[in-house]
Amino acid sequence: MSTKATNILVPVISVILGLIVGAIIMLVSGYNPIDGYAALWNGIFGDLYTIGETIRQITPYLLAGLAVAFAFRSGLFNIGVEGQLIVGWFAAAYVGVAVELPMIIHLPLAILAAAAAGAIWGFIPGLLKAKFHVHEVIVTIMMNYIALHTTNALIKTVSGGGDRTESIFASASLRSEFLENLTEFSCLHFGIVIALVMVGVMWFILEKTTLGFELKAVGFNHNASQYAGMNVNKNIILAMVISGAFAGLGGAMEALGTFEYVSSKAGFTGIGFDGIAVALLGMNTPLGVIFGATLFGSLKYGALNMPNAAGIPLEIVEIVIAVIIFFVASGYIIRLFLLRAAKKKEAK
Amino acid sequence: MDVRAGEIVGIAGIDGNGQSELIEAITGLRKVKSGTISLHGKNITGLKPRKVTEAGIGHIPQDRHKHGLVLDFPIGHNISLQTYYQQPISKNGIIDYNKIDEKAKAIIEAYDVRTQGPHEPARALSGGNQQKAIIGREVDRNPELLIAALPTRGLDVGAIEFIHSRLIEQRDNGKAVLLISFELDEVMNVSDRIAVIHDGEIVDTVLPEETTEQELGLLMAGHAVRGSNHKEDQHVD
Repeated sequence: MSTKATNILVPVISVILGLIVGAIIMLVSGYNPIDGYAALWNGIFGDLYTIGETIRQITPYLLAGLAVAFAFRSGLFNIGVEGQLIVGWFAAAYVGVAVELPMIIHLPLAILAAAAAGAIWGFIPGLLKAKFHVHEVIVTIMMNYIALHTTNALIKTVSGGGDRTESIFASASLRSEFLENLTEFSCLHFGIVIALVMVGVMWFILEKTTLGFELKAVGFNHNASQYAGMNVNKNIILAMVISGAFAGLGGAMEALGTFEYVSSKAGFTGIGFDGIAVALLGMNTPLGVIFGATLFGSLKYGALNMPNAAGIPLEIVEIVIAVIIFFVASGYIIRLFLLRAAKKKEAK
Repeated sequence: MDVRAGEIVGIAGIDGNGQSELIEAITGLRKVKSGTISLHGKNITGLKPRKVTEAGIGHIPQDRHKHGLVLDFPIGHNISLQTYYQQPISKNGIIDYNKIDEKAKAIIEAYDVRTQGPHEPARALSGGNQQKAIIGREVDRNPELLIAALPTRGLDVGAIEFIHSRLIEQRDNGKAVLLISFELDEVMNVSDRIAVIHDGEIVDTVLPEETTEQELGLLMAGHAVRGSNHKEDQHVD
């Protein structure tokens, strides 16, 4: 079998297997899997409204996935995407409510604030890793908690004791009447355009620039990079800063598009952590992240329809979604089976 | 010690007597505690590895997997590992990967690197072909001083022969070559002069035609230190 055929077959078989196992789980629990999957399908592609909402859901996953994947390519495990996203969310919302400016200044300013906040949140673990060899996983996990509770405290201060900020001024909003009309008044906003542009930016940095060459070299082999005259420390810090900026932009999508405000959170949003899976599903390539984010975003949003339309409890739904993603992630095992089958055929 | 243009100086010594430290100090991979290193009369002590490379030093590292190659990179990328940021490969921070491939093809051809092409991962090449690619990369920059550390370790006879002839060719082109090796035969056959290193110091400098392996062996073990031949300075004229 050609590698091209395997490359297409593996994800297809993975998804089918995931669906089958998911169906078995629904059957065993006493629910009708056909109704369940119909509800899932309708929840994703049912009408223009759900399609709009699905795309909206995909947007932050794209940026979180990019953030994780970019760090990965530079040999760094950024578990702090969640925290970087949260500070980005807050920064964008703050700029959105604190000042009122012409849109052409206000919107970019709010977006940049989010990217800068995420970048600073990435800079600290990058600096500690480069200068003192503190493992980035530990620092980024801790930075998540600092982000969560610091932003909660700041929200309280900004809102005068409340649980959420005012809604942002329209001049900082990514929402558009055009997109809303197009999708039967979903919350679809222009963030998806920004996210897709960022996919291009990541591809460009990694594949076209000397910076990308260095980041990848450092990611694979510190010693050889140093031998070749690259500044390993600088590259580690830069990788974390850029990764954090992507994550911060993910927060801006929520602040300026989906919610148009920031509220204090009891716990993590989960988007940043799901970003790890998104990046790994996409093999840490920019195009792969589109695939991973689409799978994650659409399943997560579509699943919301399953309790209502098919009467399946949310717990079962979450198991089914997890099983599907599990099988997609296990593509390697399926690839192994396919290769073995092909070898046996050859031997005969 | 000094290495002159048009000569190969071999460093003989038992593993762990300061050879690696010496090379790392010259190439900027390690901080220099004392002494100076100069190339063509220009002080290059304490420069960063990139500046040392740009000053005209080529370095075949002793561990090709740890330092010499990014094994997960295509062999073509590895061939431009120190020059990817320079013209004509790069302009304003943008890399032209066609130029990287062109250069890789030329070196693969000239140094007889057996590979399926510039896009094959360096990991997939045999040790000898990996080493040929490294040597091609280092010699191609036409360095004033070429440092070859254990350049033939673990290679077959054909590759060893090839590498020795490249070192000699470099010398015949009027460049300086510093050869570090644990193989006495190699040091004896290829070098024009032999510096013996023991316990972090150059204890003596001898001519290969005037010495025997036994004598070298004794010197390497720290016996019979003749005269005070050691200087801290490394010169290339």
